[in-house]
Amino acid sequence: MEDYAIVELYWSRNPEAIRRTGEKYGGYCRAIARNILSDGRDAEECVNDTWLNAWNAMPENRPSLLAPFLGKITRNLAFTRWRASHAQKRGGGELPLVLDELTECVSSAGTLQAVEAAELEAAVNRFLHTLPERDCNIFLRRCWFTEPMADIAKRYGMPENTVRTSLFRSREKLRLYLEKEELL
Amino acid sequence: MKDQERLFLAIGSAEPALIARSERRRRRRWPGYCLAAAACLTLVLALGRVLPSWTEPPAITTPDPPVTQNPDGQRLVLPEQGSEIGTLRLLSYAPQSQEKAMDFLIYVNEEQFNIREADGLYSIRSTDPLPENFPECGLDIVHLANISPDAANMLAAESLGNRYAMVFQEEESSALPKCPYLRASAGTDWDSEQAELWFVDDGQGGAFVLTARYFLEAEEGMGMRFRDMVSSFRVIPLNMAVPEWMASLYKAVDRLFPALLSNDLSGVSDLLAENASVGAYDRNVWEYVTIASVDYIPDNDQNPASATVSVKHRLNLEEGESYCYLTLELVHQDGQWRLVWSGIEK
Repeated sequence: MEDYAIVELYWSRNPEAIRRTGEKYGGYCRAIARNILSDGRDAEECVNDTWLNAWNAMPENRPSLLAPFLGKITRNLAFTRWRASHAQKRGGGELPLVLDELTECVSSAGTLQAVEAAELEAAVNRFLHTLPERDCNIFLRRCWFTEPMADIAKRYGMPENTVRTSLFRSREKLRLYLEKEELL
Repeated sequence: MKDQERLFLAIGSAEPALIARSERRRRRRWPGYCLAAAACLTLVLALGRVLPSWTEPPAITTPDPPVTQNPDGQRLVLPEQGSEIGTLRLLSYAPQSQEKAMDFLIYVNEEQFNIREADGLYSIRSTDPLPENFPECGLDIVHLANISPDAANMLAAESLGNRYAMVFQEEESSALPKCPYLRASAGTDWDSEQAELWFVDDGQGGAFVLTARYFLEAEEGMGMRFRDMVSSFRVIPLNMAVPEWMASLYKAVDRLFPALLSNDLSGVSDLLAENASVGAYDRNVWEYVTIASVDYIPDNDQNPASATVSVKHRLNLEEGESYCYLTLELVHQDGQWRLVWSGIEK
């Protein structure tokens, strides 16, 4: 079923929307959750929560691209769950590695300024547009989807070292960009 | 919340269009006329393999050579092993192997690729191999005696038809202009195998066959590296006497340009003229560089006093960077070539 038709089901408050969404995007959201959470059951719960959140969010939103819309919900839910479990020292998955890498963007030059989340989000979006397409894609696969580098290498058909180098450069560019924007 | 966590959440708000774009895997779209031509070609044949096997060297298998007929009806046997005109020499940069007599020359950066030889088949493979579930990527070179490049091309096209869904006999490739050229594709699915073949006249009635193999998504990465290497391929006739000035020029340049691109001249101080103005990159780029050709222009071909050498190369191939040229100006004094100037041109 096309995305617009699924969105129409949400807007008409038809429960069929959730079944259709699960059929089409279950695997996609499950992969995102599993990259962040090492526990399969936690990941599955996140995916189920995603449909509920989408159901609640949809009347105000009419996403033209359903995958990123749902993926963002899953990502946020998984991250929240990860933080909770991390506080109990039972975290895992790929996320700690990604967060460690992101530390490079903020630790050497100081701390992030206390700005509104929206301001930081806008700056990150502007930064993403400064990256070459290939580097932007690799950066998002790593930092948005929390994908292992080996999976990114396979996706784009390149050696893992190339992915690693690209990410290193992008993080350095992000740090410089945040400095320039006076967010660091 | 920690800074890196705030950043992670901020990245989560990346524009949906960018997220969707990152989902796409790079694909090559074959023009319709190519598909039509391929469909015709694949109907024609069904012969055995003519190409070196896809196995990892040195475990190269040697099945019975395929037998077919050339356009004149003459029976041909296309061997799977080459090197029937003497010992091939693979001249590669960096360090080790420059021992034997020379039949061909190709520039291979050994920081990036391993080179193996078994039974006349030269195999070039990445030093950073992909996981086992990928189709093999590599560049193979084999010499076929007593068969013209055109005939070898025809035989290969027939044989490839058994392995690949599409075979394209194109006029030529920019990597090696004027040489018969063939492309083959197993399709446009994820990981589908692709091959490119160049057939180079050896000047003695035979042909060198260069076979680059990779999978679809690697076309603009590994495939481009192979094409760059192929474009540096030259046949060196065994029976051609090389003048002393030329041999020493090659020798000097072979030491100089890796040193320049490594930003380390400590090992070539004997090749620098007094007050030489030496420049290249301000960092070591050797690990990333791909050499596409090295062209020599002496001021005359009898007893040159100076020469300009141009090293066509690319630094950041995966970012689509275009070619750059390292230019070397050398003077010939007292039987020795010395560098007087070098610089990068884009």
